[in-house]
Parts: sequence; structure tokens; C-alpha cells
Amino acid sequence: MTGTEPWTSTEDVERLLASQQYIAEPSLVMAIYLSGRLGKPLLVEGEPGCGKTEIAKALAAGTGGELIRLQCFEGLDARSALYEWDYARQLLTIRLHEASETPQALEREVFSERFLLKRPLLRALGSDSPHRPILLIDEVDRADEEFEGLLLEVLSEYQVTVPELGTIRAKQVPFVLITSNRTRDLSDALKRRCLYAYVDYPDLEKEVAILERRLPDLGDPFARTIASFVQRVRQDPELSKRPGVAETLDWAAALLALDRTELNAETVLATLGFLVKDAQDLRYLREQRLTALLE
Amino acid sequence: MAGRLREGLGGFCRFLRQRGYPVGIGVELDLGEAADAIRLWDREELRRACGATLARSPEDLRFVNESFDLYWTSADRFPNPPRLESDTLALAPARRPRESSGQKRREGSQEVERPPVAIPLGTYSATAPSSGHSVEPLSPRELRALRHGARRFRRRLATLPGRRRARSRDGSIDLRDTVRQSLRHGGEWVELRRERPRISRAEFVLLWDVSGSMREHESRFFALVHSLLAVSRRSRVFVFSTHLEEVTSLARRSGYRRAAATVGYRIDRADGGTRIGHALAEFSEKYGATLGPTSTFILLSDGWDLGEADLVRDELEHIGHRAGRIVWVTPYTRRPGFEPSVGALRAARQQIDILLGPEDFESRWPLRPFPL
Repeated sequence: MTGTEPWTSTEDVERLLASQQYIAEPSLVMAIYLSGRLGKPLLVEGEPGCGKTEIAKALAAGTGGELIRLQCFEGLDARSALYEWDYARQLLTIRLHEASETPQALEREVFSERFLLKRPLLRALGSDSPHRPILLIDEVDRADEEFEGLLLEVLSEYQVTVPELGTIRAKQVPFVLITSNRTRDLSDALKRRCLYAYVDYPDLEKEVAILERRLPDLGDPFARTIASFVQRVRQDPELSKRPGVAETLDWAAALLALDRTELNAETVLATLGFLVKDAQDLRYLREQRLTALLE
Repeated sequence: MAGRLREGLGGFCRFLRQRGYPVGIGVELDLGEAADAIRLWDREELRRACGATLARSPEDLRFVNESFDLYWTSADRFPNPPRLESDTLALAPARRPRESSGQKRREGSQEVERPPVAIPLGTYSATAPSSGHSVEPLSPRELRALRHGARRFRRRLATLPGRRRARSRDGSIDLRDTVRQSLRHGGEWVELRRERPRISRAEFVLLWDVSGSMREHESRFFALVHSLLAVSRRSRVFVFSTHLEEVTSLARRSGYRRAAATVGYRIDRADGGTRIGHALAEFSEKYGATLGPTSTFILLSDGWDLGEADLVRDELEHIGHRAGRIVWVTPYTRRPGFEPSVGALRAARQQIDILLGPEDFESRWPLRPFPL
């Protein structure tokens, strides 16, 4: 197993992320740097919409590595995550060759790598691209606890055993990023195998910087007005879903598309749905909090 | 890496263990590798590297950072520019034995004498570690009774489908039972039998008050927390006194006694009462979104509150909108003449769905909610 190192210092990581318009906290930069150097998966937790998935995209774009994404969901199993045999093609091949080949030869044929459907985890291990692939295991807390058990072998040894083919070892250690929204506690065994970083909501200055980087047409005063409004919304304890950075960017992009340069009650009422994505929250903000938020 | 620094890092890991924070050998080795990859003379870099390798949650991060500041006491231990090449980087454990400091003076004349740092174990302040003491474990018999009661409680408050299935009128078709039924009628399918998953799993979110007024009940309440976590894997537990902290992974550790020791050393036990309303507000802000209609919110507290009682009521009302049910467990429900008249408990009476005592979780007692 080899791994070409795309960074040799924390400054490299910071520059790489900045080149992809991603502004990271120093603690996150350190975790990414160490994850690459130590060859250990990085577990990133944080509120939804705070840029966890974007880290993987920025790293892939910055390093030129292939981004391989495994979106987790309840019921996710080895067949969707690791590999599956292409049963339809196997059956067809058997029917086509059953007269001409011996059963043993036929068995060898249909259980060869040609009939293996590689799912994200196996694809990441088998990648022979010159750059380290970026394996994103997104929202692992949505998957069942049994799935974490499956990840343990893959992430600690970077190998997978397919009974018919033997053990497949990674050609190069992928950069593994696991994200979680903390809707449930992950197992200790999985956490032990990972480095850890937490992505919190950005403070005002960081949010302004993100807006300016991503949407330079906004200009400083308007970006600051938007960020201040979002910060006030986020502090409201009555909200069931607080807006993340993704929602801020969506809202700012909508305001830009509407050629707005200032926030007033009419504009906010018309576009608040881009920022707040819960019907009750939306009603509450519109009916009870709008005036206070605009002050 | 400089030998003394490696020793210092080992000392830091030991210090964390002393404070009840689990640091395994594998993680310690990771920290050593991380230290090789960073600029050791940069205090902030080492701090961040410790956070990335040792922490597993935001609460852990806060704890590791706080411990880091306590252990590597002052900024002058990280001189600028770097002195790594000369192997004189002064990173020594705060609880260094006396002889080693004398030895150090003999070894390097450039070494600056640093005052020893006293770490008052067993008390809490914003600047001192809260190592505390182990929670006194209950006897195996008492624990068995609680575990049994916790199972009974889970069955009563279950909201989620389990693996077992039960007959139902409108579930999915149970072919096996349909065929078995048909055999009784000469193979004719007279009825399509149906089944659906039995509602048997529960999701508890526990907030445990560990302030001074709850100290005498600590053993029983920890055993209860441990039992509830054991019977419901989807549960989470938070402790609060001066601040709120999640201790799920610590309390869930294998072995009740081990978990009691780990959690006991980790929690901050503030003397006197607590501000329940503020703890609830902090919970809502940080973790409120994880509550859902299937969650049962359980508050373990005697209700002695130093804050505003109205805040408790408002926050519980807010939580009640999100969670399926609110259960308050107070130590005194079975005492003669008990009335929920203590500040916070009285204010929150309307918001509580079920009021219980720890005895209700023991198998020898029936589960008998206090009438509200």
C-alpha cells in the first residue's frame, strides 16, 4: 500500500482548502493534516449544513483525487456498500456456456472480478489513480449499528475479504472522511479508529468571510447584514432546526438573484424559506420574530 | 521526537486517565505519531493535535483542551523560537515527582525552574480538574432488580418497532402463518394472516442532575442510568450541575463497576443546588433537534433549583413539543406525605407526563406513577 502525500504541513492543507473556497478552523485543518499523515480515517461531527460534506469535495478538487461517496441510510448493508455479484450477467453467462465449458471452469468464470459489482468501499480500495482517492462515508449515524461493524475491518486494515476471490488489499490508502450529524452515538470501536473533528456553526466574522468567498458579488456590507441576521436567527432557542451555512449561502444566492442589496421586511418575508426549512419555524419567525430580527 | 517530550505526552495521557477520561494504548500511540508529524514547539499545534487524536465528541474536545491547559500549565513551556533540536523543550508533567525535577536541574543548566503545579483532585472549579471519585456501586442483587425494572419500563414506554413480529389486522402478509392456518382447513386458504413488528424498543434521553443535593442518591441514580442504557441502545445520557455534558459512551462502558468509576471521576459535582432551567435550555440549544416523537425525555432530579422556576417550566414545555413524553424521576415519591411542591418540580408539574421514583424501577415494586 502506498499513499502519495498531497500535503506536508498544516499550511498546505489550509491553502488547499482555501483554493476551493473552503474556510476551515485551525482545529479542523490539523485533523485533516494528521488524518493524511497517519493514514487514519477522520470522523467529522457537527450540525447539519455546516460544511462537513464540503470538506471531502474541497479535498478531492484540491488534490485531484477521485471523490467516492457512500451515502448512509437505515438498512445499508454490505451489498450496497462493499460489493455484489452481478447475478443477471452470471446467469446469462452460465446459459451461454453451459454446453461448452465444464462446471468447474464455468464457476471460476462467473466468480471472477469481471462479475463483481464494486460498491463505494471496494472502489476506494481498488483505485489505482495517481492521486489518493477521497472516500466520503456521509451521515454514518443514519446507518444501523451493524454497519459500523462492517466498517471496522475496512477502515482498520484497508482490506476486504470476498470469499470467492480472496482478500483485496488497498493499492493506496484512501483519505477517509466519515461525517455524522450526532443523531445517535457511534460505537466506541469505530470512534477509536478515527481522528476527530467537530464543525460548529461559524461565528459572525467567519460567516461573512464564507459569504464573501463564495458569493463575491454580495459585497462586504450586505454580506455582513445577511450574516448578522442569520446569527440572530440561529440564537433563537425556539427554533427546532437552526439554519446552517448551506442555508445561509442558499439565501444569499437567492437575494443576489433578486438583485436585493438590503434586508427589509418584504424581502425577508418573500425569501425566508431559503433560510428556514421547517414550516413551524417559518411561521414562528414570520409572525413573532421578524421585527426584532430586523432591528 | 525528543525523549522528554514523549515522556511528557505519556504523562498527559496518564493525567487524563486520572481524571476519568479513557485513553487506550492505541490512542496514545496515535498521539505519539501525531507529535512526530507536527511542530512540537508550537503550543497551539500540539493542543489541536491532542484534540484530534484524543477526543471523540465535542464534550471530549472541551475536556481534553481544558486538561491540556491544566497539564501544560503555562505558555513559557512552549518557547519560541523552537528549541527542539537541543532536546531542552520543557514539557514535564504537572504532577512530576520531586526527584525528577532535581535530576533535570543537574542535566541541563539552561533549564528554567518552574513552580510545581498542585492539582486539587476531588473538587471542581472553572480552573481545576474535577477528578472526583468513583460512584459507589450497588450490590449485584440491587443492580439485577433495577435492570429488571428498566426492562419493564422500556416495554411500557416503547415507541419503536423491534425485531419480533406480532399478529395484526392490517400489517404485511404472514405467509408462514397463513399456510399453517390453511392446513387446518384441508389446505384451503381461508384467511390471509397478517403481522407487523411489535413495538418493543424505546429511545430514552436522560438528563441526570449531579448537584450536591442529589449526592446521597448518586449510586442508585447511576445504577438506574446504566440499566436504562443497557436495555435501550438508542439512548443518550447527559449530566448537569455547573454545565451540561454528555456521558453516554462513558456510562455505557462494559462492566457496571468500571462505568461507575469512569463516570464518577468525570462528572462535576457542584455543591448545593443547580440551575435546572439553564441546563434544560443548554440541552435544547445543543441537542434539542435530536428529540423526536419516539423519544422519551427523562429528567433525574430532586427539583432543588437555584434558578428561575419559570424557565424550567418553559424549557420543559419546549422539550415537550419535540419529545413524545416527559418523565421526571425524583428520589422522594415514596416518602410519606410527598407532594411535588419543590420549586422547579412544582413549576413544571403541568409539563410532566409521568412522575416516578427510583423505586418504580425496582422489580420488587410495581411501576406506580405518582398522580399529577
